[in-house]
Amino acid sequence: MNAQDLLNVVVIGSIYTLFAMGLTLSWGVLNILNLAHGAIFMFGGLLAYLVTQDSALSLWIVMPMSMVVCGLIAVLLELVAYRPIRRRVADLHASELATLIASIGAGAMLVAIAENVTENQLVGINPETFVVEQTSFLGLRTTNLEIVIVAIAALLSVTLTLFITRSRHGRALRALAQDPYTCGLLGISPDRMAAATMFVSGALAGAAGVLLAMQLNTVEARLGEPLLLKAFAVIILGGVGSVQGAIAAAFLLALAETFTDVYASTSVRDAVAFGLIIVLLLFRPQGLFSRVAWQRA
Amino acid sequence: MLSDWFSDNETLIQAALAGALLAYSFQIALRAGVFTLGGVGFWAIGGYTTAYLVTEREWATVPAIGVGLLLSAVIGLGLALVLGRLRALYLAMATVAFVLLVQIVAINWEDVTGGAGGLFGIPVTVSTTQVFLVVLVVSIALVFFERGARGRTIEAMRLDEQLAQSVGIDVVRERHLIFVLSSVLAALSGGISAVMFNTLAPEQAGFHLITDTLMMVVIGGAAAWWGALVGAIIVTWLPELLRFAEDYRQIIEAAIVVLVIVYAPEGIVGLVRRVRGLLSGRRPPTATPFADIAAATSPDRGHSQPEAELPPAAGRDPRPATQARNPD
Amino acid sequence: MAALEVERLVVRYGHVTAVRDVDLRLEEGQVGVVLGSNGAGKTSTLNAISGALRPAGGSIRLEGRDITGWPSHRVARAGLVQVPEGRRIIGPLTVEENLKLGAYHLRSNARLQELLADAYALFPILEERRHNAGGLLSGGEQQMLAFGRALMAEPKVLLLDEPSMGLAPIMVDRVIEAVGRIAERGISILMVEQNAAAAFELAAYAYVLEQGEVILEGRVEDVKNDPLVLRAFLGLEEAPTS
Repeated sequence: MNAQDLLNVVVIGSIYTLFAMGLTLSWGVLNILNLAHGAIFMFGGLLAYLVTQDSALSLWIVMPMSMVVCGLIAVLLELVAYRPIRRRVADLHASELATLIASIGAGAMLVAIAENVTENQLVGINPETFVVEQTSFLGLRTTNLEIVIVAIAALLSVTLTLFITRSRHGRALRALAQDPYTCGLLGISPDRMAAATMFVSGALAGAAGVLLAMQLNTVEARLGEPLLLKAFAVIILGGVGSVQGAIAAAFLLALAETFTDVYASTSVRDAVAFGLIIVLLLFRPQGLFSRVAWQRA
Repeated sequence: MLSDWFSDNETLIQAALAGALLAYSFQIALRAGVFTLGGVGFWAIGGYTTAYLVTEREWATVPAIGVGLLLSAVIGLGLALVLGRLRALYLAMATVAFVLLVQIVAINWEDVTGGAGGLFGIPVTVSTTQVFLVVLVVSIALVFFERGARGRTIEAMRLDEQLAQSVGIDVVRERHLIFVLSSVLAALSGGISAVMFNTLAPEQAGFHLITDTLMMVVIGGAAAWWGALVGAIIVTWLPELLRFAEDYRQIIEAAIVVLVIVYAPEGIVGLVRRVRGLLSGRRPPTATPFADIAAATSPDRGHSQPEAELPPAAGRDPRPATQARNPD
Repeated sequence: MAALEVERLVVRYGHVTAVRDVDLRLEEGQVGVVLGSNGAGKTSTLNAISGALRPAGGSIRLEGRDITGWPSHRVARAGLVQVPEGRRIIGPLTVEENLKLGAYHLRSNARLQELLADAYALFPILEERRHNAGGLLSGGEQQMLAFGRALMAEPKVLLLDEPSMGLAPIMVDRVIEAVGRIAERGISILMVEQNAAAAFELAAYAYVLEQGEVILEGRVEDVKNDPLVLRAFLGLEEAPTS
């Protein structure tokens, strides 16, 4: 591996970070493993394609817009599916599984909508949205887009970490993950917090979707699928619900994959994440960085 | 007349039969509270083993499928030993990872699997009638399983594992057994599919087969064995039934899954039992892996505390481990 | 106007009625105690008042305002805060974070600091432990933290569910003393307590619940000489002569 490969690791790790942070948040706080996250992510890219179809808009307008819409989609899922399940099903495991299946269905719906909109074609965001230029950074070949991706991932992860560790809402979120009943008694509305969590989670997915669609220069309905299981590996690695853990794990996974890519073959690269999931769940289900034992039994 | 309908719809009938076997595989695990989605991986293992032995080694169909079943049983047991202690979401996702690993092997092991393009021209050696008989035999076996002592055992395991353990059920052994049974049923579905449809490709054995099969179990209902069968038939015919919806077909299909899991988690089994309960004036004992007994049998619950936000009685109380050890 | 008025409260779990037609009244600044054996419906009553459970019937008024059927977070904002059974400290959060959780409704940092200083003044042990994880405190300390956290929500009425449960005898005294200090601030308190002797030192009014119904109520000086209370809750055969 050389420095150029490492730069690649940073870019891929940034995308993984953006994708996994939202997923670990909803899982850790609400016990929602939202398998529609990949589809929401894809919708971020799709929306960017749709609004730039006729006229070019700046990335700095397109991305916030995608974030808001994707956040709202996630809130919608919470309101029509996840919340009714939580209300109805008392047993935590049964409720988690019903939520998982509902999220698979919801994701399939979003993918089907995207297939209709794109007529099953590969489409791309208007390149004038962000003019990609080759540049160099510390003597390494890169693009201005890659620098933007890394910067946004850094900005959003620092913001989210501060939000969770310092703000009153972040405190309430951490408490909600532990004990929604007590939160209610202290004047915190679990329903409102759940909706807010889903919004943040969806918005992060939206940002990641726009950026990856720009980077790959394509949007297609199944853009999010490969990332979903990788994000699962990242979350297990980092410890469920831990944002800092997810960030560290995202870069570790990117490193492991690039390593496999360089020294073995591209075709086994995807197996890294899946193998990692099984090995990790066996030996360290609480994640590499977490000291708390999360639920195994 | 009937034979006309039969020949017009033969492919759908075949798909429903193979689907039913795979749905049984998912259902039997779910009903025991073992949320494995690994069935699709075993579907691929059974399929490729059968296809390889029949095509390359010119084996007869039955022993070829038999080897597929055996192989799946062994790998299934291995997987159970490795992942058996995981619960709920963790087990679900670990088994999804297993499915995708099998898929990657199928793509890369070209000598046996034909690589990403898959296998073509697998000899068609089973008739629809034969497959129908297999499904019939499996269904009857499941009825006996469900009615027998073991049916009660797995019901107890799903409802309360600790309680099951305390009344002398060897939960670990039962979970392993369920894992193996589920793997074998899935391999049977895969093996039959290979010699019924004459092609097999890695892309068939991916995430969308998991989705389709879950759809069968959810729509049909997991509380009785016939839920999987009815679910398989409905999901197979759904594209036909929704033909009028044209481009919106897939959106509607996915929406049905969401609506059923959220608002009618007992599926068609639950619906039928409720109607039967109304007719006979009794409250039906509906309980599925997605709707526990308390929610299903006390209709008052919905009225008495719908706005109580996550009340303590709802059992959503993941108390931190640290609270358990107070010095005083 | 009473601080809290509960009329004909009914709580059901499915087909099981846990609380039947319970009437309770708590005057402003008063301490009331609810006695009863396990399963008498004490916790269900508190949970229904605080909105953690939705009552199946009856009405609840907080300072004259009807709060029946409100979800718990709204009830808390309206000024009625329940300290739950078992304290339920958020284990991974620090002591200070647990306290601040109680003041979730506050946007102003100045007021938050005031309340925090106040809580530390009331329970100095919490200031010593402010950076420790809440889950690592002793049971007695956790109870102080639970009180402090509830006070951060600036309640008018506090519901305390078995504050002395599971504590060493010496800690029981301290907890009861702490309740007394809270009451001195004019906060009305309704407490469920097993330790009747201790509760009677503070309370002005007492209710005895059995199988979901109030079977006895009255001013503490009368209730504590009732043969039933003597036998069941004070462990005595007859009234003390002194």
